[in-house]
Amino acid sequence: MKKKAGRRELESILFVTDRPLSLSKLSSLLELERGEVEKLLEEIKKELEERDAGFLLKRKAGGYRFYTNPSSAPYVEKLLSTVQMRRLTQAALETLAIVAYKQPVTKGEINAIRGVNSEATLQTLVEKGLVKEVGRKEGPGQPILYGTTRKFLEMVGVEDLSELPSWESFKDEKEE
Amino acid sequence: MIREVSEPQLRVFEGPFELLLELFSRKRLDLKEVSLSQIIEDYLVYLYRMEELDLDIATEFLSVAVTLLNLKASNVLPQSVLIQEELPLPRSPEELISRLKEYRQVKKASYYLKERIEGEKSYSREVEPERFLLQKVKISLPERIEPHVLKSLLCKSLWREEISTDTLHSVAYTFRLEKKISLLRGELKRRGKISFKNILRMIPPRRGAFIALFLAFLELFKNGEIKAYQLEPFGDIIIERNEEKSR
Repeated sequence: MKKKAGRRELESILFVTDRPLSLSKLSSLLELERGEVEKLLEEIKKELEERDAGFLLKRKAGGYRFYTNPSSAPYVEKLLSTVQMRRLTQAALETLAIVAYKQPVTKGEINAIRGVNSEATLQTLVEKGLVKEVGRKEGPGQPILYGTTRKFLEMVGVEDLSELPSWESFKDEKEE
Repeated sequence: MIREVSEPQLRVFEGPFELLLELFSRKRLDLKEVSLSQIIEDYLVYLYRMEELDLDIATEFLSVAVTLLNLKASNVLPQSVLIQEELPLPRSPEELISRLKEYRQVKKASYYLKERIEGEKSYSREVEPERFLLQKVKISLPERIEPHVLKSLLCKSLWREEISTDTLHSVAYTFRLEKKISLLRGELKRRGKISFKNILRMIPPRRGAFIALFLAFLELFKNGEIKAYQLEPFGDIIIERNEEKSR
Protein backbone atom coordinates (compact mmCIF):
# COMPACT_ATOMS: atom_id res chain seq x y z
CA MET A 1 0.00 0.00 0.00
CA LYS A 2 1.03 3.54 -0.75
CA LYS A 3 2.04 5.70 2.21
CA LYS A 4 0.21 8.97 2.75
CA ALA A 5 1.98 11.74 0.85
CA GLY A 6 3.78 14.49 2.72
CA ARG A 7 6.41 17.12 2.32
CA ARG A 8 8.85 14.75 0.59
CA GLU A 9 6.35 13.88 -2.15
CA LEU A 10 5.37 17.53 -2.59
CA GLU A 11 9.02 18.51 -3.01
CA SER A 12 9.54 15.77 -5.59
CA ILE A 13 6.63 16.97 -7.66
CA LEU A 14 7.72 20.60 -7.46
CA PHE A 15 11.21 19.51 -8.50
CA VAL A 16 10.06 17.80 -11.66
CA THR A 17 7.29 20.07 -12.95
CA ASP A 18 7.82 22.36 -15.94
CA ARG A 19 4.88 24.65 -15.13
CA PRO A 20 3.36 26.21 -12.03
CA LEU A 21 1.01 23.76 -10.31
CA SER A 22 -2.17 25.07 -8.77
CA LEU A 23 -3.20 24.25 -5.24
CA SER A 24 -6.04 22.06 -6.43
CA LYS A 25 -3.76 20.20 -8.86
CA LEU A 26 -1.24 19.53 -6.09
CA SER A 27 -3.92 18.43 -3.70
CA SER A 28 -5.35 15.95 -6.20
CA LEU A 29 -1.89 14.62 -7.13
CA LEU A 30 -0.91 14.11 -3.50
CA GLU A 31 -4.37 13.04 -2.34
CA LEU A 32 -4.20 15.63 0.42
CA GLU A 33 -6.56 18.35 1.59
CA ARG A 34 -5.86 21.79 0.15
CA GLY A 35 -5.23 23.10 3.63
CA GLU A 36 -2.57 20.44 4.24
CA VAL A 37 -0.85 21.22 0.94
CA GLU A 38 -0.92 24.93 1.71
CA LYS A 39 0.73 24.33 5.06
CA LEU A 40 3.46 22.19 3.49
CA LEU A 41 4.07 24.77 0.76
CA GLU A 42 4.45 27.50 3.36
CA GLU A 43 6.89 25.31 5.28
CA ILE A 44 9.07 24.64 2.24
CA LYS A 45 8.93 28.28 1.16
CA LYS A 46 10.02 29.53 4.56
CA GLU A 47 12.79 27.02 4.95
CA LEU A 48 14.30 27.82 1.54
CA GLU A 49 14.14 31.55 2.20
CA GLU A 50 15.66 31.20 5.63
CA ARG A 51 18.74 29.38 4.43
CA ASP A 52 18.93 31.60 1.29
CA ALA A 53 18.84 28.52 -0.89
CA GLY A 54 19.76 28.39 -4.58
CA PHE A 55 16.14 27.88 -5.48
CA LEU A 56 13.01 29.34 -3.97
CA LEU A 57 9.38 28.39 -4.00
CA LYS A 58 7.22 31.04 -5.62
CA ARG A 59 3.61 31.47 -6.57
CA LYS A 60 3.11 32.81 -10.09
CA ALA A 61 0.43 32.53 -12.74
CA GLY A 62 -1.89 30.77 -10.32
CA GLY A 63 0.50 28.01 -9.26
CA TYR A 64 3.64 27.00 -7.42
CA ARG A 65 7.05 25.85 -8.62
CA PHE A 66 10.73 26.33 -7.89
CA TYR A 67 12.60 29.31 -9.27
CA THR A 68 16.27 30.12 -9.03
CA ASN A 69 17.38 32.62 -6.43
CA PRO A 70 17.63 36.03 -8.17
CA SER A 71 21.02 36.53 -6.55
CA SER A 72 22.48 33.70 -8.63
CA ALA A 73 21.19 35.24 -11.87
CA PRO A 74 24.60 36.23 -13.31
CA TYR A 75 25.76 32.62 -13.11
CA VAL A 76 22.48 31.00 -14.06
CA GLU A 77 22.24 33.22 -17.12
CA LYS A 78 25.55 31.90 -18.40
CA LEU A 79 23.95 28.48 -18.65
CA LEU A 80 20.47 29.31 -19.87
CA SER A 81 19.56 29.79 -23.46
CA THR A 82 16.15 30.99 -22.30
CA VAL A 83 17.65 34.30 -21.26
CA GLN A 84 17.62 35.15 -24.94
CA MET A 85 13.91 34.47 -24.96
CA ARG A 86 13.36 37.24 -22.47
CA ARG A 87 14.89 39.87 -24.66
CA LEU A 88 12.06 41.38 -26.64
CA THR A 89 12.31 44.16 -29.20
CA GLN A 90 10.41 47.38 -28.65
CA ALA A 91 8.01 46.34 -31.43
CA ALA A 92 7.40 43.00 -29.72
CA LEU A 93 6.83 44.67 -26.36
CA GLU A 94 4.29 47.09 -27.85
CA THR A 95 2.44 44.28 -29.57
CA LEU A 96 2.54 42.26 -26.36
CA ALA A 97 1.13 45.23 -24.42
CA ILE A 98 -1.75 45.57 -26.88
CA VAL A 99 -2.56 41.87 -26.69
CA ALA A 100 -2.34 41.90 -22.89
CA TYR A 101 -4.68 44.83 -22.48
CA LYS A 102 -7.02 44.46 -25.44
CA GLN A 103 -7.41 40.70 -25.58
CA PRO A 104 -9.05 38.98 -27.28
CA VAL A 105 -7.76 41.02 -30.18
CA THR A 106 -7.30 40.50 -33.92
CA LYS A 107 -4.23 41.21 -36.00
CA GLY A 108 -6.11 44.00 -37.75
CA GLU A 109 -6.90 45.71 -34.48
CA ILE A 110 -3.26 45.51 -33.41
CA ASN A 111 -2.16 46.98 -36.73
CA ALA A 112 -4.62 49.83 -36.36
CA ILE A 113 -3.33 50.75 -32.92
CA ARG A 114 0.34 50.58 -33.86
CA GLY A 115 -0.19 52.07 -37.32
CA VAL A 116 2.15 49.48 -38.73
CA ASN A 117 1.89 45.89 -39.87
CA SER A 118 2.53 43.67 -36.85
CA GLU A 119 2.31 40.27 -38.48
CA ALA A 120 5.92 39.21 -37.99
CA THR A 121 6.09 40.54 -34.45
CA LEU A 122 2.94 38.72 -33.51
CA GLN A 123 4.38 35.51 -34.97
CA THR A 124 7.50 35.89 -32.83
CA LEU A 125 5.37 36.27 -29.72
CA VAL A 126 3.41 33.16 -30.62
CA GLU A 127 6.66 31.23 -31.17
CA LYS A 128 7.94 32.37 -27.78
CA GLY A 129 4.75 31.09 -26.21
CA LEU A 130 3.71 34.47 -24.82
CA VAL A 131 0.70 34.89 -27.08
CA LYS A 132 -1.67 32.30 -28.49
CA GLU A 133 -4.75 31.99 -30.62
CA VAL A 134 -7.80 32.05 -28.42
CA GLY A 135 -10.58 31.80 -30.97
CA ARG A 136 -12.06 33.45 -33.97
CA LYS A 137 -14.03 36.62 -34.27
CA GLU A 138 -17.51 36.48 -35.71
CA GLY A 139 -17.85 38.26 -39.01
CA PRO A 140 -16.20 38.38 -42.42
CA GLY A 141 -13.11 36.19 -42.70
CA GLN A 142 -13.47 35.06 -39.10
CA PRO A 143 -10.12 36.60 -38.12
CA ILE A 144 -8.04 34.89 -35.45
CA LEU A 145 -8.29 36.34 -31.96
CA TYR A 146 -5.13 36.50 -29.86
CA GLY A 147 -4.64 36.46 -26.09
CA THR A 148 -1.78 36.07 -23.65
CA THR A 149 -0.64 32.74 -22.21
CA ARG A 150 0.11 31.35 -18.78
CA LYS A 151 3.77 31.71 -19.67
CA PHE A 152 3.24 35.43 -20.16
CA LEU A 153 1.86 35.74 -16.62
CA GLU A 154 4.78 33.75 -15.29
CA MET A 155 7.32 35.86 -17.15
CA VAL A 156 5.80 39.10 -15.96
CA GLY A 157 5.55 37.57 -12.51
CA VAL A 158 1.87 38.06 -11.77
CA GLU A 159 -0.90 35.75 -10.63
CA ASP A 160 -3.41 36.79 -13.26
CA LEU A 161 -4.22 39.64 -15.62
CA SER A 162 -6.05 41.61 -12.96
CA GLU A 163 -2.73 42.10 -11.18
CA LEU A 164 -1.38 44.20 -14.04
CA PRO A 165 -1.78 47.95 -13.61
CA SER A 166 -4.94 49.21 -15.24
CA TRP A 167 -4.90 50.41 -18.83
CA GLU A 168 -6.07 53.80 -17.58
CA SER A 169 -2.94 54.14 -15.45
CA PHE A 170 -0.84 54.48 -18.62
CA LYS A 171 -2.69 57.61 -19.66
CA ASP A 172 -1.01 60.97 -19.33
CA GLU A 173 -1.55 62.41 -15.88
CA LYS A 174 -1.69 65.97 -17.09
CA GLU A 175 -4.61 65.28 -19.39
CA GLU A 176 -7.74 67.20 -18.73
CA MET B 1 8.79 76.23 -47.67
CA ILE B 2 10.14 73.49 -45.53
CA ARG B 3 11.88 74.35 -42.28
CA GLU B 4 14.68 72.40 -40.70
CA VAL B 5 13.74 69.86 -38.11
CA SER B 6 15.52 70.78 -34.89
CA GLU B 7 17.39 67.50 -34.36
CA PRO B 8 19.10 66.17 -37.43
CA GLN B 9 19.96 62.66 -36.29
CA LEU B 10 17.80 59.99 -37.86
CA ARG B 11 16.47 57.41 -35.53
CA VAL B 12 14.83 54.36 -37.00
CA PHE B 13 11.17 54.53 -36.26
CA GLU B 14 9.12 51.40 -36.08
CA GLY B 15 6.01 52.96 -37.61
CA PRO B 16 4.44 56.23 -38.61
CA PHE B 17 2.63 56.60 -35.30
CA GLU B 18 5.87 56.38 -33.41
CA LEU B 19 7.40 59.10 -35.56
CA LEU B 20 4.32 61.30 -35.30
CA LEU B 21 4.30 60.92 -31.56
CA GLU B 22 7.95 61.92 -31.45
CA LEU B 23 7.30 64.95 -33.65
CA PHE B 24 4.39 66.03 -31.47
CA SER B 25 6.30 65.63 -28.25
CA ARG B 26 9.33 67.42 -29.63
CA LYS B 27 7.15 70.47 -30.06
CA ARG B 28 6.16 70.10 -26.42
CA LEU B 29 2.66 71.00 -27.38
CA ASP B 30 -0.67 69.74 -26.35
CA LEU B 31 -1.87 67.32 -28.97
CA LYS B 32 -5.04 69.34 -29.34
CA GLU B 33 -3.40 72.67 -29.94
CA VAL B 34 -0.62 71.70 -32.23
CA SER B 35 -0.76 73.10 -35.71
CA LEU B 36 -1.29 70.26 -38.08
CA SER B 37 0.55 72.03 -40.87
CA GLN B 38 3.73 72.24 -38.81
CA ILE B 39 3.60 68.56 -38.07
CA ILE B 40 2.97 67.77 -41.72
CA GLU B 41 6.01 69.77 -42.73
CA ASP B 42 8.24 68.06 -40.18
CA TYR B 43 6.85 64.75 -41.25
CA LEU B 44 7.62 65.40 -44.89
CA VAL B 45 11.14 66.50 -44.04
CA TYR B 46 11.57 63.21 -42.31
CA LEU B 47 10.21 61.34 -45.30
CA TYR B 48 12.67 63.04 -47.66
CA ARG B 49 15.50 61.78 -45.52
CA MET B 50 14.28 58.24 -45.40
CA GLU B 51 15.92 57.18 -48.62
CA GLU B 52 17.59 54.13 -47.17
CA LEU B 53 14.51 52.63 -45.59
CA ASP B 54 12.90 49.68 -47.23
CA LEU B 55 9.88 50.12 -49.41
CA ASP B 56 7.34 48.48 -47.11
CA ILE B 57 8.05 50.79 -44.23
CA ALA B 58 8.28 53.81 -46.50
CA THR B 59 4.84 53.02 -47.90
CA GLU B 60 3.31 52.99 -44.43
CA PHE B 61 4.92 56.33 -43.65
CA LEU B 62 3.69 57.70 -46.95
CA SER B 63 0.14 56.54 -46.32
CA VAL B 64 0.12 58.44 -43.06
CA ALA B 65 1.61 61.48 -44.78
CA VAL B 66 -1.24 61.30 -47.28
CA THR B 67 -3.71 61.12 -44.40
CA LEU B 68 -2.14 64.12 -42.75
CA LEU B 69 -2.34 66.11 -45.96
CA ASN B 70 -5.89 64.94 -46.41
CA LEU B 71 -6.77 66.05 -42.92
CA LYS B 72 -5.18 69.39 -43.58
CA ALA B 73 -7.01 69.71 -46.87
CA SER B 74 -10.30 68.86 -45.25
CA ASN B 75 -9.80 71.86 -43.00
CA VAL B 76 -9.50 74.08 -46.04
CA LEU B 77 -11.79 72.45 -48.55
CA PRO B 78 -15.29 71.24 -47.98
CA GLN B 79 -15.97 67.50 -48.34
CA SER B 80 -12.61 66.06 -49.25
CA VAL B 81 -12.56 62.42 -50.15
CA LEU B 82 -10.50 60.24 -47.86
CA ILE B 83 -8.64 57.20 -49.02
CA GLN B 84 -9.47 53.63 -48.13
CA GLU B 85 -6.50 51.65 -46.94
CA GLU B 86 -5.66 48.26 -45.54
CA LEU B 87 -4.38 49.84 -42.38
CA PRO B 88 -7.38 51.84 -41.26
CA LEU B 89 -6.26 55.45 -41.18
CA PRO B 90 -7.65 58.23 -39.06
CA ARG B 91 -10.49 60.16 -40.64
CA SER B 92 -10.31 63.40 -38.72
CA PRO B 93 -7.77 65.36 -36.68
CA GLU B 94 -9.64 64.32 -33.55
CA GLU B 95 -9.38 60.67 -34.48
CA LEU B 96 -5.69 61.00 -35.28
CA ILE B 97 -5.10 62.60 -31.91
CA SER B 98 -7.04 59.96 -30.02
CA ARG B 99 -5.12 57.28 -31.92
CA LEU B 100 -1.83 58.89 -30.98
CA LYS B 101 -2.90 59.10 -27.36
CA GLU B 102 -3.79 55.45 -27.35
CA TYR B 103 -0.48 54.63 -28.96
CA ARG B 104 1.28 56.58 -26.24
CA GLN B 105 -0.54 54.43 -23.71
CA VAL B 106 0.71 51.34 -25.53
CA LYS B 107 4.26 52.70 -25.33
CA LYS B 108 4.03 53.25 -21.61
CA ALA B 109 2.53 49.82 -21.05
CA SER B 110 5.34 48.30 -23.11
CA TYR B 111 7.98 50.00 -20.91
CA TYR B 112 6.23 48.59 -17.89
CA LEU B 113 6.21 45.07 -19.32
CA LYS B 114 9.86 45.36 -20.31
CA GLU B 115 10.77 46.30 -16.77
CA ARG B 116 8.75 43.44 -15.32
CA ILE B 117 10.03 40.83 -17.74
CA GLU B 118 13.68 41.84 -17.58
CA GLY B 119 13.47 42.46 -13.86
CA GLU B 120 12.47 38.87 -13.16
CA LYS B 121 15.89 37.44 -12.54
CA SER B 122 14.46 34.21 -11.29
CA TYR B 123 14.38 31.25 -13.64
CA SER B 124 12.58 27.98 -13.68
CA ARG B 125 12.66 24.71 -15.52
CA GLU B 126 11.78 25.04 -19.18
CA VAL B 127 11.05 22.39 -21.71
CA GLU B 128 12.95 23.30 -24.81
CA PRO B 129 10.45 23.78 -27.61
CA GLU B 130 12.53 21.76 -30.05
CA ARG B 131 12.72 18.71 -27.83
CA PHE B 132 9.05 18.96 -27.13
CA LEU B 133 8.22 19.15 -30.81
CA LEU B 134 10.46 16.23 -31.67
CA GLN B 135 8.51 14.03 -29.30
CA LYS B 136 5.25 14.99 -30.92
CA VAL B 137 6.22 14.69 -34.55
CA LYS B 138 7.49 11.18 -34.78
CA ILE B 139 7.12 9.98 -38.34
CA SER B 140 7.22 6.26 -38.61
CA LEU B 141 8.19 4.78 -41.91
CA PRO B 142 8.17 1.05 -42.43
CA GLU B 143 11.63 -0.43 -42.90
CA ARG B 144 10.61 -2.23 -46.03
CA ILE B 145 7.67 -1.53 -48.26
CA GLU B 146 6.22 -4.75 -49.56
CA PRO B 147 4.86 -4.73 -53.12
CA HIS B 148 1.40 -5.82 -51.97
CA VAL B 149 1.25 -2.88 -49.55
CA LEU B 150 2.03 -0.50 -52.38
CA LYS B 151 -0.61 -2.15 -54.51
CA SER B 152 -3.29 -1.86 -51.88
CA LEU B 153 -2.35 1.78 -51.23
CA LEU B 154 -2.61 2.48 -54.93
CA CYS B 155 -6.03 0.84 -55.11
CA LYS B 156 -7.17 2.85 -52.12
CA SER B 157 -6.03 6.13 -53.53
CA LEU B 158 -7.66 5.35 -56.83
CA TRP B 159 -10.85 4.42 -55.04
CA ARG B 160 -13.61 5.66 -57.25
CA GLU B 161 -15.24 2.58 -58.67
CA GLU B 162 -18.61 4.27 -58.93
CA ILE B 163 -17.46 7.58 -60.31
CA SER B 164 -18.76 8.09 -63.79
CA THR B 165 -15.89 8.90 -66.06
CA ASP B 166 -18.04 9.58 -69.06
CA THR B 167 -16.33 12.78 -70.04
CA LEU B 168 -17.53 12.73 -73.63
CA HIS B 169 -21.07 13.55 -72.63
CA SER B 170 -20.72 15.98 -69.86
CA VAL B 171 -23.92 17.03 -68.19
CA ALA B 172 -24.11 20.01 -65.91
CA TYR B 173 -25.26 18.95 -62.47
CA THR B 174 -25.74 21.29 -59.59
CA PHE B 175 -25.02 20.20 -56.06
CA ARG B 176 -26.23 22.05 -53.05
CA LEU B 177 -23.93 22.49 -50.11
CA GLU B 178 -26.85 23.02 -47.73
CA LYS B 179 -28.21 19.62 -48.64
CA LYS B 180 -24.91 17.94 -47.97
CA ILE B 181 -24.60 19.73 -44.65
CA SER B 182 -28.01 18.56 -43.55
CA LEU B 183 -27.19 15.05 -44.76
CA LEU B 184 -24.07 15.01 -42.60
CA ARG B 185 -25.91 16.49 -39.64
CA GLY B 186 -28.71 13.96 -39.99
CA GLU B 187 -26.39 10.98 -40.20
CA LEU B 188 -24.37 12.20 -37.24
CA LYS B 189 -27.49 12.67 -35.19
CA ARG B 190 -28.65 9.17 -36.05
CA ARG B 191 -25.39 7.34 -35.63
CA GLY B 192 -23.12 9.64 -33.62
CA LYS B 193 -20.03 8.50 -35.52
CA ILE B 194 -19.72 7.98 -39.25
CA SER B 195 -17.13 7.17 -41.83
CA PHE B 196 -16.61 9.57 -44.72
CA LYS B 197 -16.42 6.67 -47.16
CA ASN B 198 -19.78 5.32 -46.08
CA ILE B 199 -21.39 8.70 -46.52
CA LEU B 200 -19.93 8.91 -50.01
CA ARG B 201 -21.82 5.72 -50.88
CA MET B 202 -25.08 7.41 -49.96
CA ILE B 203 -24.88 10.19 -52.52
CA PRO B 204 -25.02 10.15 -56.32
CA PRO B 205 -21.71 8.97 -57.72
CA ARG B 206 -20.76 12.26 -59.27
CA ARG B 207 -17.54 14.09 -58.73
CA GLY B 208 -19.42 17.33 -58.03
CA ALA B 209 -21.48 15.64 -55.34
CA PHE B 210 -18.32 14.27 -53.74
CA ILE B 211 -16.75 17.73 -53.75
CA ALA B 212 -19.89 19.26 -52.25
CA LEU B 213 -19.89 16.65 -49.52
CA PHE B 214 -16.26 17.30 -48.73
CA LEU B 215 -16.92 21.05 -48.59
CA ALA B 216 -19.85 20.39 -46.26
CA PHE B 217 -17.52 18.33 -44.08
CA LEU B 218 -14.94 21.14 -44.01
CA GLU B 219 -17.59 23.71 -43.16
CA LEU B 220 -18.86 21.71 -40.18
CA PHE B 221 -15.28 21.08 -39.08
CA LYS B 222 -14.44 24.77 -39.30
CA ASN B 223 -17.33 25.89 -37.14
CA GLY B 224 -16.45 23.24 -34.59
CA GLU B 225 -19.58 21.15 -34.88
CA ILE B 226 -17.67 17.97 -35.63
CA LYS B 227 -14.41 16.26 -34.79
CA ALA B 228 -12.57 14.20 -37.38
CA TYR B 229 -9.60 11.92 -37.44
CA GLN B 230 -7.87 9.25 -39.50
CA LEU B 231 -6.64 5.99 -38.07
CA GLU B 232 -3.76 5.84 -40.53
CA PRO B 233 -2.27 8.10 -43.20
CA PHE B 234 -4.60 8.18 -46.24
CA GLY B 235 -7.13 6.14 -44.27
CA ASP B 236 -10.83 6.74 -44.06
CA ILE B 237 -11.97 9.88 -42.21
CA ILE B 238 -13.96 9.17 -39.07
CA ILE B 239 -16.38 11.95 -38.21
CA GLU B 240 -17.88 12.50 -34.77
CA ARG B 241 -20.13 15.11 -33.30
CA ASN B 242 -18.30 17.62 -31.13
CA GLU B 243 -20.34 17.32 -27.97
CA GLU B 244 -19.01 20.54 -26.38
CA LYS B 245 -20.03 22.61 -29.37
CA SER B 246 -23.25 21.07 -30.69
CA ARG B 247 -26.39 22.50 -29.28
